[in-house]
Amino acid sequence: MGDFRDLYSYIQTLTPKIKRNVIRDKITALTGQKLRVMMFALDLNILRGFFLSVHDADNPFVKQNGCNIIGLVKGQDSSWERFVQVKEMMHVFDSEKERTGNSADFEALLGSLTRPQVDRTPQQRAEAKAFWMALAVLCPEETRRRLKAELADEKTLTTEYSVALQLRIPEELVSALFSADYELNLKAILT
Amino acid sequence: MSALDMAKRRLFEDGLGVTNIKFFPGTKLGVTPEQMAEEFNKAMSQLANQDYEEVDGKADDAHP
Repeated sequence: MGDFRDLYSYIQTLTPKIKRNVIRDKITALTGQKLRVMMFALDLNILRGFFLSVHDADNPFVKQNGCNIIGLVKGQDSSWERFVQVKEMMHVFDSEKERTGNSADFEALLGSLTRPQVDRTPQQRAEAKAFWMALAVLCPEETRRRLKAELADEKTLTTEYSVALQLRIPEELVSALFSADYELNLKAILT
Repeated sequence: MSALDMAKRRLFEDGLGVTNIKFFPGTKLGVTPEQMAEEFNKAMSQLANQDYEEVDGKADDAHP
């Protein structure tokens, strides 16, 4: 069974814009896990999306909905909708320890998403990892380095806005893609 | 029953046997776990009533 490193290697062979269905299909090919994506009418102020997984093929819920559900909240800008879907898809790669599979971990996770925490549980760490993994699969490294150099070069017309359009990611996340944080986090994820 | 208790019951105690759940928070700061659980409970109700739209991702193809 393949892991995130295999997906990341595959992404390096592609050219943006990376389609989310291409990412979804590769995840299924690597892991055998199918993903179903659904749009819900919820308050976008509170929630952008979620990932829900049930691994019991005989469960009636699974028979109706499948094992892995990505929930997206209606009304988002299309670049945000794409990013949220890709981030949630990354949770297929959560290790057993990183999965939220009981009430105590669930409550701790909701607490950490709404209040700062000094110490992180494996589930909270998985949320952070998925953010950087999603950025990484929407921009191959060669493209990232080229765009970073262009952005630093005053002779080019490249801006954070034009990068966001090229990659179809939210403009608010472009600076994260070129940050030292990105390189540190991705290195930690890939090693 | 609080929304948080209802979410925990739905996910882990009523035979669903969820193995993983994760969230992408919304745009507002200062949201409470109870508010987040309330929205998630709404999603579960919409799911049970098949009141959702399938996303096929083809919107990505529509943009050159």
